[in-house]
Amino acid sequence: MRMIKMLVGALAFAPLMAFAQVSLTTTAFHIVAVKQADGSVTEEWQKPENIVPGDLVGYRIHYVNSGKETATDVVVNNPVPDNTEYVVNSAAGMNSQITYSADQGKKFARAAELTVEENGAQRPAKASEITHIRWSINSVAAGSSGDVEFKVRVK
Amino acid sequence: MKLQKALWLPAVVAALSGVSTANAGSVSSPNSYTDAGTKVSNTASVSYAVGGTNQTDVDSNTATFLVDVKVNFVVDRVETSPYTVSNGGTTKTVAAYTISNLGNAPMSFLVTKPVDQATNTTVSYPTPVADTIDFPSSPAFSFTGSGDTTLGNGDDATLTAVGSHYATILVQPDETYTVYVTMTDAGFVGVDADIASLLTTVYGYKASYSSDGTLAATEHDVDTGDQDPTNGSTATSGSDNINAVDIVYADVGRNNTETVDNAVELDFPFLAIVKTSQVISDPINGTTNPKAIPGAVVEYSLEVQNWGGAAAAGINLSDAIPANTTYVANSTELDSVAVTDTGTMATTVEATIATLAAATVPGHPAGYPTPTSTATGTPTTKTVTFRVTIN
Repeated sequence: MRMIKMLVGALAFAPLMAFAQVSLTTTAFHIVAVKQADGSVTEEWQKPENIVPGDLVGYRIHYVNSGKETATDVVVNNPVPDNTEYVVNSAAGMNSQITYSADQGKKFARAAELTVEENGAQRPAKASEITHIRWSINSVAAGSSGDVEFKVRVK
Repeated sequence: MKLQKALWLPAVVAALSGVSTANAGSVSSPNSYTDAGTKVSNTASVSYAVGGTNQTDVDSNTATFLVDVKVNFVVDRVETSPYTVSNGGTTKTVAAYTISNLGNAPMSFLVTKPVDQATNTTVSYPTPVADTIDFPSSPAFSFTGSGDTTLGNGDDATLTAVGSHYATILVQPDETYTVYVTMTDAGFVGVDADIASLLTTVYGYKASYSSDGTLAATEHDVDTGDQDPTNGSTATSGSDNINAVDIVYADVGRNNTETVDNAVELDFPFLAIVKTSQVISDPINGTTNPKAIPGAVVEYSLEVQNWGGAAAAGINLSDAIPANTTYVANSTELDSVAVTDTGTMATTVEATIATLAAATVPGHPAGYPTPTSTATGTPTTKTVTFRVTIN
């Protein structure tokens, strides 16, 4: 009797997996300015160790379409983590249109058009007021993958 | 298809575009710092359609890290000019400094006993003063602290000895603790206005934070524990677990160590004697234009001057009677008040000045500290006179 229950459970779960063809992986990095041998300073994305207030943290979100069909209207959403502040112009991603929300994800707009209400009037939003970032990708072909990323500063 | 930004590099190295990372020792607004031990989590989600049909949203994994301990503090001198000492025997403050915690965790600190600095060391108050004399050897310093009222610590708490150092009470982020170093005012050797300077070293000792993201705050060493800077207090090295709270030195020099200078100025009497003589009378001319011929009476005047910032007490004055002259009995006066002759007066005049007040304006006489120096200040004076006759 117990065996049968487990079997039913497994069957019920299997179809869901088949349809969830797009998956995401998020990785955090500690962004460190490193002086190179030639004297130039480059920004390295290192393991997220020794992060203290004021430091930059980069997030890379890897998407994969592991299904057999093209995924369309792909929208990756990422709320800016608590205790961090979005770094202006840091969101990036090939073939994506990036929009932002400054009101917990209710409204999204491109950076130049993002406004917040203050004393009854609309004014341009500051980077520190951004609560969500959204990457809109028209289509992701079967078997293909990509990355989007953004940076925050630890408060 | 819109291409918002084509920055994508496969490597994890991208050119730095004007972003500044946290500067060592920078003083920003610590109030807003995220507490050490705070867990920062990020989860992305994706929505998409297949064949025009919306599919169930999918969440990513959650990427987390713990905010580490940012060790950042500054130590500042409290006084704006040197404390004065005068060997008065009372308890005196000889150094005071504030320790400000600019980090993101409550910290306690270790302070060293102040050490005497080399002669000519300059302390900027900001008007620079140069060290001219040493401190008495091995003075018994005492340490008290004040401040930090949010922790309920009262003023004048005595610091706890830890090894050869002293520990301050926990200082919260963005709070300042003041340490006062006192000693018995005695044993200074020098002249008025000499400067003795001290150097104190302050180390971060323990931080209070949650080590694993849970709420319990416990103390953790930010020092190697032996409180010996020569043994290399070090921040947590790079290979630590991202899910543990590490320690990052962000103070000036990134060494968990700050120093502060303090100085004391001697407030001593500074005595000088000006001796003059005047012929009072001679046997031929009487008191009219007397000349220094045998039998003439000559009055010597010893003006004792105090140019120093402190009163002088118990000044014993003695002056040998010049050859070829004879002391006139009972002629000695102190500020025109007769001084009783002592048994030695025939050869040496003696007088005692009980006290001579501090200079009206402390300074120094002409010829000090170099032969060509001019006088500064206004001294107090007392004058001893005595008379001799020329044989």
